[in-house]
Amino acid sequence: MRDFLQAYGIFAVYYVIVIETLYLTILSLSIKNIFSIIKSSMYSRFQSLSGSEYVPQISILVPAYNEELTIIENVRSLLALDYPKYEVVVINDGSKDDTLQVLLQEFQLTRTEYAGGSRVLETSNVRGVYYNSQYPNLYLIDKENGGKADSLNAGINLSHYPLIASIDADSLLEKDALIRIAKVYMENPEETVAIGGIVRIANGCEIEDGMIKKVNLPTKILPMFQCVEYLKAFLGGRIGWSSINGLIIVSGAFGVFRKDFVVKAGGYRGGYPGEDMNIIIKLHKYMLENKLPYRVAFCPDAVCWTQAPDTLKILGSQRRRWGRGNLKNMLEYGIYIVGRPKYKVMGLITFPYNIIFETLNPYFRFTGFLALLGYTLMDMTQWRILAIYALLNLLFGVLLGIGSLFMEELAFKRYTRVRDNLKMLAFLFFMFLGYQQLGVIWRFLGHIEFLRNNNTWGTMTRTSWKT
Amino acid sequence: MSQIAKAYSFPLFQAFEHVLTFYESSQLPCGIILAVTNGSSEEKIQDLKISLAKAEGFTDIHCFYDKQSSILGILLGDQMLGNTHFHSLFIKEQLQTQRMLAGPVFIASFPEQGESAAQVLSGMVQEITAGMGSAGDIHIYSGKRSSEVKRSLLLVSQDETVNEFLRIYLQRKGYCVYLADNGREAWEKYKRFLPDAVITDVNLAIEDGYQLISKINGVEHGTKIVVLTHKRLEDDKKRSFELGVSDYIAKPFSPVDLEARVRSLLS
Repeated sequence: MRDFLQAYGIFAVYYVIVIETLYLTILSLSIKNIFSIIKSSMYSRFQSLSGSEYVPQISILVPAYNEELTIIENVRSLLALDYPKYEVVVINDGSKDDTLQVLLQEFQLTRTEYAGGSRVLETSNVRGVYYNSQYPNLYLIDKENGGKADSLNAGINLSHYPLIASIDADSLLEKDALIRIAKVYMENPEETVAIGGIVRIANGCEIEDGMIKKVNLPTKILPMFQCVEYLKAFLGGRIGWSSINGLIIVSGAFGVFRKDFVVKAGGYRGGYPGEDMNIIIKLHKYMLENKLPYRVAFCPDAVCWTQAPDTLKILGSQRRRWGRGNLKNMLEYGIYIVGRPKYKVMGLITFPYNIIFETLNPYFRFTGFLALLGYTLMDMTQWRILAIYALLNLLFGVLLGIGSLFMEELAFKRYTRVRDNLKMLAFLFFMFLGYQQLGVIWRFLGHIEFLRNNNTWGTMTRTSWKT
Repeated sequence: MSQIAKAYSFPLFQAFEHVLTFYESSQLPCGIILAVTNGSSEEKIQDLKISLAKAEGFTDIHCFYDKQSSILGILLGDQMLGNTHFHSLFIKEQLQTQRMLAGPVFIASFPEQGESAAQVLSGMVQEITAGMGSAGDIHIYSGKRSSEVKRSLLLVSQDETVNEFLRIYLQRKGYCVYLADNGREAWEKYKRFLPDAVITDVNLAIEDGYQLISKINGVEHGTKIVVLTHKRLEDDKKRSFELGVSDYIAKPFSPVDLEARVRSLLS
C-alpha cells in the first residue's frame, strides 16, 4: 500500500511538472507574440477604420434570458460602438421576467413582419420580431425558451451581415472592441473563421450609462481571484494557443465568427453547456475535414467587461457547468479527433492536451495529493515529498501569473496604479491557498453531474450595473 | 451726463455694483434680467429667489428692487444669453402668477453683449425707461452688441481629446463653447444654452446623434447642425442630410476647415 501510494504520488509530481512546463511553453509563445500584437495595434488607425466603408459588416447577437436589470444599459452601450456598419440583434429567450417589456418600452419597438434574414438553422418557435426605424440597427427577437445556443441560432437566422458576434447580455464591450477584432479579421479575411476577444472582470469598476468610466480592481475576494485567473487564462494561455492555431475555445462572452462557416458547421448546438467550445471544435473539424486553410484567432486588445459571480454558490455552479461542458465536448469529439494526423494541431496537440491536462486534471491532482498525504501520514519522515508537491504547484502557478501580469502591464495597462499591481501579485499567491483547489473540486463535481445526466444551466443571478 | 455716469447714479446699479465689478474683473459671464413690476416687497423677492434656485438648481442669484422706478433687477451668475433667456421664461411666469408684472422683461448678458457690464446695464435701463416693449414681452437687449458678436457652439463628441482640442481652438477664435459627451447631456445643454450651432458626432452614448439632431430640429431656434464624425459611409451622410443637418465633415478633419464652415454657416 505504501509503495503504491508513493509511486502514485511521485507520478502526480511528474504530472504537475509536465503540465506546468506545458503551461510555461504556451506562456512563452504568448509573450513572443505579444510584441507583434503591440506593434500592430500601435500603428493601426482604429478610429479612422471605425468609419471606413471597407470594414466588414457585423451582426451582434445578444441572447438574453432574465436580464431585465442590465439589458437596457447593455443595448445602449452596444448601439454606441465605434464601428461603421453593424446591427444589434437581441434575442429574448422566453424570459420569465420583464426583459421583453423593458426593451419594447425603452426603444419603442413594434412588431414587424419584414425583418429579412434567411431561415437557415432550426430553432424553437419565434414569437415575433420587433423593430423601430428610429433605431435602424436594432432588432429584437422574441422566442420561446430554448437555451443560449438556440437563441444564437435564431439570431443567425435573422442576421443580415456576413460576420456575427456573440455577446453575453451581462457584458459590456469597450467602444473600440469590435473594430479591433474586425482588424484581425481583415488581415486575413479568407482564412479567419473565428476570433475571440479578451474577457475582463468588471466588478469594482465605475460604470456609467453602459460605459466603463474608471477601471478598478474588484473589492470582493472571489471576483478578485477570477480577475487574476482570467488574465492568466487569456493572456498567458490563449495568445499562445492561437499562435499555433490550437485555440479550442472562444469565450461565449465575446467572439466574432464567419457566419457562412458557422452555418456550414451546423450552427450552435443546443441542449448542453459549453456551446462556445462546441462551436469552435465544430469549426475546426469542418475546416480540417474539408481541407480548407483556416485560423481561429485571438485578439487580446478587444475588451469585453463582464460581471463575475461573487458568491461561492454561483461561482460553483458556473464552474461545474464548465466542467460538464468540457467533459461532454471531449467525450463526443475526442474519439474522432485525438491522435489522428488529419486533424493536425487539434488532433495531435490541443485535444490530447485538453483531455490529459484539463479534463482529467482534477483526478490526477486531487488523487495525487491524497496519495502523497496518505503516504506522508504513514511515514511522517517523508513530509518533504508533500512539500515539494505543494511548492511545485505554487512556484509554477505564480511564475505563470507573473508572466501574464507582465504582458498585461506591457501591452494593455488597464490597471495603472502600483497598488493594484501589488494586489494582483498578492492574489497570485493566495490563489493556491484554497481557491485553486476549490476549482478542481468543482470541476470534479461537474463531471459527476454530467454522468448523472444533469444538464441544467444552474442559476446565474445578476445585479444591475447601476449599483 | 454720460450714459454710464447716469447708470451709476441709478439705484439698481448701486445695488449691483459690487457683483458686477466682480464678474467684470474675473471675466465671468453673467445674465441680466430687468422687469417692470407694479410693486414688490422683500419677501416676494426672496420667494422668487428661492423658487428660481430650486427650479434651476443654481445659487448665484442676486435680486434687487428699485421702488422709485418699480424695476426688478436679477443677476444670474455664470449664464450666457441663451440660458438667461431660458430662465427669464420661468421668471416671467412666476411674476405673472403673482400678478406683479406690469411691463416688459428685458434680458441681456455680459460679456456677450458688451465689454462692460455697466454699459450693458445702463443701456437696458435706458431702453426700459424709454418705454420700449409692451407688457409681458421678453425683450432681448440689442443695444450695443459689441463689435465682435460672440457666437455660441455646442460640441458633442465621445472623444474627450477632440472635445478639448476643439474647445480651445474655437474659443481662441472667439466662440463661446459648451461641451457634452453623450446624447442626453447634449440635449440638456442645448435646452439650457440654445447655442447658435451644434457640432455633433452621430455615434453617441445613451441617445445617438440622429436622435439628438431630430430633437434639436424640433426646437424652432434656427440652430445650425454640423456633423463631425469618423463615419464615412454614404448611408450615414444620407441619413444626416435627410434630418436636415447643414454640413457633414468626416474625420480626420482640419480645424481650420471646420471653423471656416461654421463661420460661413453662422454669418
